[in-house]
Amino acid sequence: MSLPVPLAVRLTTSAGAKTITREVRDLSISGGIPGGFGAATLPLDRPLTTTEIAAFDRVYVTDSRHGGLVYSGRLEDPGRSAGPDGQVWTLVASGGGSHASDNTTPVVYVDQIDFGMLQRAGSSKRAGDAGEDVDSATGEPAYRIGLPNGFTAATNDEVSVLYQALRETGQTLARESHSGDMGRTSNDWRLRLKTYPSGTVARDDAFNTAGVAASARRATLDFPAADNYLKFMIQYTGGGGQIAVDTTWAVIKDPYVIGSRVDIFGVALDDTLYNKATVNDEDVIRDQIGRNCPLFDAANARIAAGSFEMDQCAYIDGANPAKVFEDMMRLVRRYWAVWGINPTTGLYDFEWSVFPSGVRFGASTRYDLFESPGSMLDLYDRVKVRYLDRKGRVRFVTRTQTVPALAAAGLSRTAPTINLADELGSVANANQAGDAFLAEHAYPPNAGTLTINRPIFDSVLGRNLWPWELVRHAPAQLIRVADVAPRPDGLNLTERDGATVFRVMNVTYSPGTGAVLSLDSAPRRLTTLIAQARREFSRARKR
Amino acid sequence: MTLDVEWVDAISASPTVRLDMNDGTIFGLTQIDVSPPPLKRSVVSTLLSDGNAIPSASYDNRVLGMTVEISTANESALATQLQTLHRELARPTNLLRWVSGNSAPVFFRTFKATDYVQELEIAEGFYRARLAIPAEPFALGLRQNPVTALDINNDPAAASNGMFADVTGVLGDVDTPALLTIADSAAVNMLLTVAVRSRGTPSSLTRFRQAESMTLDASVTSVAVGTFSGGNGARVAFGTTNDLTTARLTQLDFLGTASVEHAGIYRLMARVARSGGAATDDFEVKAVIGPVTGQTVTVSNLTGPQMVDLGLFGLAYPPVYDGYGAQLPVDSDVIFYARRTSGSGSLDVDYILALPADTSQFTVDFGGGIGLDSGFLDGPQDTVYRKSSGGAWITSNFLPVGGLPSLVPNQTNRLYFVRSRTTTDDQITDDFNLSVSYWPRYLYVAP
Repeated sequence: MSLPVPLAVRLTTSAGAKTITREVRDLSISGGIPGGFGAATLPLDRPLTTTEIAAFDRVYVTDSRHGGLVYSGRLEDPGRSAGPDGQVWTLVASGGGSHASDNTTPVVYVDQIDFGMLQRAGSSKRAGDAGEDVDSATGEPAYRIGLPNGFTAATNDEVSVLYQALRETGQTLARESHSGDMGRTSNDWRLRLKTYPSGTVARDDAFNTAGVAASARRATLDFPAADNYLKFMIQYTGGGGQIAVDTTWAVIKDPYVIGSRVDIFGVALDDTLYNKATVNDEDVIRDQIGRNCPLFDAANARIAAGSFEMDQCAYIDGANPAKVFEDMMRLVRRYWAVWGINPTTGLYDFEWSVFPSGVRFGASTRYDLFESPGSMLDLYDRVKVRYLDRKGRVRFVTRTQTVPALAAAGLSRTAPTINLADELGSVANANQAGDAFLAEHAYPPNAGTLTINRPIFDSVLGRNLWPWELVRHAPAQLIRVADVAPRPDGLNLTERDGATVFRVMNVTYSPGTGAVLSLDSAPRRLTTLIAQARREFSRARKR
Repeated sequence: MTLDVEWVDAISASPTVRLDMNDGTIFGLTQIDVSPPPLKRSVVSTLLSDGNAIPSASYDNRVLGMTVEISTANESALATQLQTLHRELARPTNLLRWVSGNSAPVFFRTFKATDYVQELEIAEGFYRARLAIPAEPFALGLRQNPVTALDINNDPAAASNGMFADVTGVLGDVDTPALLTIADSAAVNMLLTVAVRSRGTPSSLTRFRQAESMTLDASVTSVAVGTFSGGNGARVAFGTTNDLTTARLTQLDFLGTASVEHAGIYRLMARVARSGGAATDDFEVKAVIGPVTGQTVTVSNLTGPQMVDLGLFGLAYPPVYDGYGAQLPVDSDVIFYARRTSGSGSLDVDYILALPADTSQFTVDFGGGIGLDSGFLDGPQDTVYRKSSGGAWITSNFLPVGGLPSLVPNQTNRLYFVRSRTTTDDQITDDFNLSVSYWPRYLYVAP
């Protein structure tokens, strides 16, 4: 018996399902994180006149031995060529992760209101003053609304500003809170929060020089669930008269809103669930799946529990799920991936998971081709994180860590600045992103490859996996390579160490080459670098 | 030695012969090369170890070399005979039958081969052609039908052919893909899984265990269930313990006494049903075999019996050897776990099945049922299709997963079948009819 690679390749086309195993000249499939199944290339010998093959047909690669899915994806526009090799279709498929870029929508999860977005309401008295100020206690940005000395106020006169971001995103207001200072004490002068379109007075505080503390207002409890924009206002409720002091003002401090979300099935969340001033990564992921990812299998998605509570996360300019997932990865040690298509439902398997700890695979330089260019250039012990605050000012935080290799050499290296712009711009987020970045740069990444052409043991599945099975099962996992710079503690590692244990970021398999594992860093393809540059450029724009 | 080399129209015992290449009158073969096909190998070598590894290999096409001499009275007659030869060589695909002496005929599936070297001795009217004909790697023998209309029971404990069939006496030099014909007049939907074990002694593997015959935890009782195999099952109650750490069912040596035969990859499946509670009850099940713990599987919307896939388990595969000595035997102790995550029902377990999954395993959903038609799992064409009772092709619009089985010569090949219903409860009475055919494959010619 020969040992042909036991893979079966099939297409679902408009003409039905077709097995093309014997017709493909070669096969190259890939999978990695983030994203899951990546690109596949299948040169296919068929007449160029055939109408069987079309873009978006599905391709399945299964293991003939046990029927397990090795790869699945959708065809992009197939290439065609005719030449010395005959008529050849070049089928290129992309994995389900590409659908995370299908829909771009604006969404506000939690917004520390940018004062530049507040607009004077039509009912606001023109003599009134509304603009940016400073919290006298903390020096942080605040927003002042007031009327001048000498103004003759009539009952119900108001100075007011509107926040309408949620009207643009199509969400409703779920929660709001703010604190405030006032210049005078008076029952006739009120600092109010009104929600619209109902016009409900959700919060009503009399002017008091002692100020007012933060107090959350929630949909259904305090204002109708359908309201989607709000008004901050000072309003005169007295009988009328001329203002004779300079202290008829209120300063709104630390206002935030939380926009309505949906669950993973796209159903609006119950208002009782908006019981905190933050949203976490799990909240965001579930909302994105339900809102923008109709092709992902929500019922069976694996979503890790929330890890970090964000006080700022708003995509008023719009974002697709891929961008949102990537932003979450900047803050927490999680990854997202989209794997196989369920042939019955046509939905993709999705996961948002914790990076596994504990070595799962073992390889050896005696049998597997190992290449490790090595680099200390990715070690950093300091990083600055840039963000925009409420006033649109550029702010920085600096995070540090101790890197043994640098400390031993007496060196200190500062990483290129991380830019959170305004979408994730807050002190807490900046600290979190900086710490997450430094954790990834405490040990030199391998930036190399490992080529495997034999079965290796999988300690999770408890059996040997052949190279083609690694495309699905190896990304995100830790692999120990024996016979490489052994250390006494190398057997007890739960994270990569840049010497013996590496994290698999990407696997590309072809029958002639075997499985090529990219270790510790994704393959540096030109398309990836261009996409990264575009994202960094877009973050620099201010609202 | 007599030798018949003929271009024919079909792989059959009496095909139409279009051209005899060795008729002894006009065409005569003087030299023939039917060397076995070459092997393409993937070779991995490093300087860090001695020798090279060959992780995969497959046969390349072969080239049939033959020198044929054409003797005619004149040039016009020569041209006529050459045209006959060229027409055969010009076919994109063709069949060349080979019969040597009293050997069984074999057929080479050839490709276009009009590029050959010719010698023409004008004075003698003698024409010699040195042909190099590319062909598929293997010579094919006549169709064999070792299994015909065998009734496959959907009850593993049936007296005969309980979810399996043995194919023996397979001819040929190398493994050959099987053509399975499935017939089921019941016209109910069919989700069919086919696996194969083609090494060692497949009958030495214990395929399944009745749940009630396994060691039962205190939370489990043997109960009578009319829709179960043997009329009995094991009922798991969750009133006292409701976790995935209590060993509900245990079976030492599930596959049999520890043996080298047990090394391999298996897909464990359990036939389960709900007792009491409601259809909205959810359960979670898990299995352990040897040192391997399977994934937790959610079973939901359970009413009548259904098959649950407990996952793949590897037992010392690739095999483990004692250095350069003997292969080590393998234990196969199985433990089954279950818990209820919602509702109030109990979980009834009929049996647990072990399907080999290291050679080929194939699953296809025939959807609404075959009825009086036939389903064809066509290994030679690597496709699945449905034909009417009159033999007309109906549709190939099935999306299977996995690989179709091949049959290994000089070896008992055991085919395993799991037949489920996709939208309704499984029935152990869902028998179906099986026929197995194949074409022997030879590296040279048939004996």
